[in-house]
Amino acid sequence: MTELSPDNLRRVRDLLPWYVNGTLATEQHAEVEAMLAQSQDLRAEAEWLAAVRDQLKQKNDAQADGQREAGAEQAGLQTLLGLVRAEKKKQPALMPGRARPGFGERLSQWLGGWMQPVFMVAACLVVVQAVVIGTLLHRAGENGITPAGAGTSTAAGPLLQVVFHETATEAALRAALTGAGVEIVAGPGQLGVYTVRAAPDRADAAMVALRQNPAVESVSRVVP
Amino acid sequence: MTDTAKTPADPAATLEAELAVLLRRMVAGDESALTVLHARLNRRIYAFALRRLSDPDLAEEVVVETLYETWRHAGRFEGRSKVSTWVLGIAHHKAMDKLRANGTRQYEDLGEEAEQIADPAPDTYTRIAQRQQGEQIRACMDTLPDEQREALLLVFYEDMTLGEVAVVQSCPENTVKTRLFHARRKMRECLERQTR
Repeated sequence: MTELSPDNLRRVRDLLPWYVNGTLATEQHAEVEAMLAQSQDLRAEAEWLAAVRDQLKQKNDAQADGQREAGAEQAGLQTLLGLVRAEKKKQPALMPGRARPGFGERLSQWLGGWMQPVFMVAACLVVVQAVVIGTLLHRAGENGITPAGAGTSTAAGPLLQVVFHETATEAALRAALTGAGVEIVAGPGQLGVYTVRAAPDRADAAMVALRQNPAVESVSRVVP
Repeated sequence: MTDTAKTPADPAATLEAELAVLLRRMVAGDESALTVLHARLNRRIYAFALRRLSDPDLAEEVVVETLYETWRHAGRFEGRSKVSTWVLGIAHHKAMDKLRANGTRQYEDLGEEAEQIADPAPDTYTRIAQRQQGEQIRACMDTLPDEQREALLLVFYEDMTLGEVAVVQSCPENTVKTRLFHARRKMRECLERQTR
């Protein structure tokens, strides 16, 4: 039989809530019962806890059932399924529950979750500029000369200044320039101005094409 | 330590087995499994959240957020606890987030000097047990710090084992015991005053 020492009493007292809810393992249950048989105070505490438990269960069942609006359960399910479907549309390749998404997906989630829109725009601009600069350097590397239109049909054509919308992507920028038949000769400058050269007989057509492009904010001819 | 062995015929064990299958189907992207999981657990999560937040609208939000989180991370369930315990653990964090956001969270102080607390007078428990009423218990529960109130509810309302409460509250088992110790003492003192 377990001795009725202060340490044992404290240990068994700690177990009383689980004795009352009936989830103690067999050995511990027997130990608590043995101590209860020896201590009137412990028995009184166990009976009090059992009474609290009974009243809590009654109270909470009534509370939860009574406060829930009719139809809330179904509405909740619809909201839940809406979230799931929206996520599927957003990330078709990301299946739920996959153990560990790849670095790209985690980075994307992090960017989506934490970066403010203004930083996203800034990041896009940096990417656009990096691609353009990279393209220019690449051309220079290929030809061994500066990229100022050398060796192209626009070599002797007029210069235009083009400003793109802040939100324009690199792909949109590239499509606008190639669609208008112009080549970058300088830029972007600090204000985001690109200087491009059109073919000698295509300057007006290039300006029209650029102005009609939704990625372009403004176009002007450089006066010699 | 305190887990009771469950037989296959036990309805609770049968439910847990079903929930585990649903979770596996969710990992494969099966929305119908999520619908069934919602049917099985939404009332329990709602009641769980309502007891913590005392706000039906916030409790509904916790239901949706918890099950959405369960859907997204179903593959992370490692089987070290019951599925329902794991899901209620998610609900616990969601509810605590809302308490924090509302600035209504009541923090506990586990550094209280438990050893210096005097034993109650003889017959105190018997007297309280005879006089206490549901409303008084509710009022006294509301005075407890959130983690202590939750621990008490998980044991007395959810009938969870010590280990399960520790999983839901993301803490060691000894912390759960300490929380229960303080919660019981405060409840006793509060009910003593209420039933005088």
